[in-house]
Amino acid sequence: MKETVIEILASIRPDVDFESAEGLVSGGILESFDLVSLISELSDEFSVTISAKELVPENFDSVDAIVKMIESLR
Amino acid sequence: MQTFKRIAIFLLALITVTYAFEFMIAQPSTLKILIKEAEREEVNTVILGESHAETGLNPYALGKGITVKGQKCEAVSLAHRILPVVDQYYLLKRVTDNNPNIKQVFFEIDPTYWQGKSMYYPGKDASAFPFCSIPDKMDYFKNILIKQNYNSAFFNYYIDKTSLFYVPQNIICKLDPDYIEGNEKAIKKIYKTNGVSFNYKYVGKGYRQGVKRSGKKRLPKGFKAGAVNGQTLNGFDRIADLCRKRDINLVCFISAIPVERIRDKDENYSAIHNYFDELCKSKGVDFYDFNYIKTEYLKRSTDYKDFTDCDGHLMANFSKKQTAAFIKAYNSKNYSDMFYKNYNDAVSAVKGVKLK
Amino acid sequence: MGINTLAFLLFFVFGITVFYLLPQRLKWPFLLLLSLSYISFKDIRGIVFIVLSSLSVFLGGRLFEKRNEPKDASFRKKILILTMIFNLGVLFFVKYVKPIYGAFSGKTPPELDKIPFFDSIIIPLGISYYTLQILSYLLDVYWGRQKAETNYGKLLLFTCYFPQMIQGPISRYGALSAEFFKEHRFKLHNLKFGLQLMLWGFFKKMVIADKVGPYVQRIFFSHKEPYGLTVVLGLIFYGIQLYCDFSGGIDVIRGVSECFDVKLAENFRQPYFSRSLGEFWRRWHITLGSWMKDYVFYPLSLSRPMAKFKKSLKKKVSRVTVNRIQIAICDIVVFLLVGYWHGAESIYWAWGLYNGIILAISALLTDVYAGWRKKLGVDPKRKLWDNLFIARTLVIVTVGWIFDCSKTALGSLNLLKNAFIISKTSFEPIVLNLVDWVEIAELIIFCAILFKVSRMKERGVVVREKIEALPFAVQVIIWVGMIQLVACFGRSSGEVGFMYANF
Repeated sequence: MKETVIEILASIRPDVDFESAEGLVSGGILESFDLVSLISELSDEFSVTISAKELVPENFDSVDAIVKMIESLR
Repeated sequence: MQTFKRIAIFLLALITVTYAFEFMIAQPSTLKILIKEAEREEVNTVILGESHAETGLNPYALGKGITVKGQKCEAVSLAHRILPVVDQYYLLKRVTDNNPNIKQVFFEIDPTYWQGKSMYYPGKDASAFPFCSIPDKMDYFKNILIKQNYNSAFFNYYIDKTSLFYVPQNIICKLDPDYIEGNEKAIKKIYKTNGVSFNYKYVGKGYRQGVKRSGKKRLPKGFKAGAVNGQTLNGFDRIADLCRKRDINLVCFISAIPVERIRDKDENYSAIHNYFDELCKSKGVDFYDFNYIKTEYLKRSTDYKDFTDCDGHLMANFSKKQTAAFIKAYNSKNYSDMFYKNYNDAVSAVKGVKLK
Repeated sequence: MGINTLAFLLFFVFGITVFYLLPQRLKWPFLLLLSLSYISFKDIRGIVFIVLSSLSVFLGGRLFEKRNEPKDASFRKKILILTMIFNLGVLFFVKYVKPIYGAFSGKTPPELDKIPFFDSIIIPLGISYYTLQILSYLLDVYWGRQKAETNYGKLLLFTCYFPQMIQGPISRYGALSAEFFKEHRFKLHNLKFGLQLMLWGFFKKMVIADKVGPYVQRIFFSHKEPYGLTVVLGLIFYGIQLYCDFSGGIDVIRGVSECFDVKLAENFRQPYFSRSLGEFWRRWHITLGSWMKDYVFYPLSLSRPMAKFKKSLKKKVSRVTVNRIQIAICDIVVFLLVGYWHGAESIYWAWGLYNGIILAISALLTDVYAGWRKKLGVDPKRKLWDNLFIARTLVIVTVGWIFDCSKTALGSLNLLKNAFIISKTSFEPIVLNLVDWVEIAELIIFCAILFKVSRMKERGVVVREKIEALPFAVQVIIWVGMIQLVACFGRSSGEVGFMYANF
């Protein structure tokens, strides 16, 4: 799953190295339209509903955090 | 200790600079001297208002035409440019506290001071605060000072377009023995420092005469009855109440302004006249509007030779005529016969003027 | 009690003195008392609004946590909707009923005031700010991001904390409560830096904004219509006035709060250095923008209706385009709301729409813009292009201010049209007599000071710290100089009021 997430992130922001990046939201790396695109892709790819409740920095600050969040929604 | 020392040095530096700036930038005070004059026991009449009153009504001429309870009218003008109406109340209170012989007040209304926000002019000798008694100072503090910009309480000066040009003269004047003693002689010198001497000559008793035209232009300010400044109105109410309580005869007037200004729709002069006419009626005081006076009593002309500028400060000759008209109105049994009843008549009566 | 009056200063000194003399457990209740008395000075009836709103949100939050089983989901939703309708309803009624009625009936504001019903409506201090602020708390508790507060007094303080009642910033409960309820020890450093920040705010507001204000008045709100370059200069002056007034006020507010050892969020980050309109809105009125982002933009983007809409679109266009369309729609909605938040008159929503449309277009044309940049050889790292982007943003933003310079949206568009009639330019509202040039010269110097300090902040320098590192004598000169600068040049009148107050 991790690879797919990185693939999606890279298609939205090819200029960032997501393998090691931290603070994707709290550090302002991903902007609001990046985040919206990301959520849309993730919802489709993994068939989960990501709602406003999940929209906290902790769930999106790194690839691992994203993976954890998706797994908890399944 | 180090911190306390630093704070102390900082405060010391601040206070020193403040006093130095006040000495250099704040204008020397004519009010200080004129109040002393007004408190002499022979004075029975006080003129209040702003710059139009300073130039508009001649206290010497009043003395020749008016009597107060059988005595000759001995008038001193405490009118001062940019002096707010509410400060004029405190001035009046101060001089009538100390001089019970004052039985008459001629109050000039300048509508531009009745609109817009409350103005406070530190360092321009336009505040009654230094001259109030202690209880009045507290009253002033509670009603006015506390609502002002915090700087006004601590720094009695500010720098406007021309302040810095007058610093050398300010210093010279404040070191002059006549000024320190509070002699009226010093006022001629003070006038050199506050920018009015170029076009005016100080005569005495707070009265200055226009002698030369200035080229200053002016944008129309307009007037809305609904936009009258509450504090100004309150100041006027307090003046009227004080006069009633102390059995002082209050007469209000609007000094003549150039006919061009009255004709300009943007000035909205008919609203001005109606508003103050109503106001004075409600207070039961006489009201002379020299912009509505019949031309046989005061001939107004369309060229500016009667005024030093577009704002409407009177030249010496015209102020003599206006004072004569004032005396006539004062002495007549029914002064309202001397004035037109409406705006159209007042404007078209001036020769060569058609309504715009 | 305007924030630059002596009355406020005395209130502040009293507040600080008592605050640091009280024992720790009484400190925040005292802040609450201070805040309630501040509101009662303006209008004691405002307290009723504050109490009702905060109570509704308090109870809502407690209910969310009490009934937190999955089966209670629809109950929680009902409570959420009820509470939001109540609070937004009060805001709507107090602020918008009059202008909307006026728009339909054709009556003007003075006519409306004569109707006793409309005359009796009071606008409680800070209602636009605190309503958003407590709704953010409500939604955060609903989404499980924030634990419900169990002490009503604490939530009440969050609602009515007096420095924020004038013009924000709009804070979040997590951050602000941490500041309120932490241990407060008197540190001279806080007082010093707080006072310095207040002084800087007074400089911006009293020395620059209040000096520029009369020019804007004479150009746009006097008897003569402005044309040509007069309009352009007026817009530039207005842009300076609005920035200095609003950010200056915020600086004073943050400085006051810093003296109480309560840190408030930044609301401005040198917005005129932005390279795009999007960036501008991340640097101007930051807390409103981030509120809209977290409580409108994202929820709207992730809502079920929007998901359905996107699904149906995906059949016709690519995934990327669907996202872009969705972002464009949300941008317009958000900025219409931003416009309406300012007021119901046409000038506000027209301005919101102006911003929303430009952002929507830039979202939809992302690829097109990227293509142009490539063709023109744009290299954002080179200073020339950087400055060009900044200039472009300045033009877009400055043109947007036209909506504040008239009474109606149509009037604003008319002004814009007149701006092209260069031949009728008049400089009379700005320089009528020769001596007026002195004021222009002063204004240029003060703006230069502002520019220099802004540049330093942009580079990440904390100016107050930099000054603190200088020799003591230089520090004395700088601070005595600043105090005297504000004293000498910062007087236009007493309670001038702040432009973003009464919201």
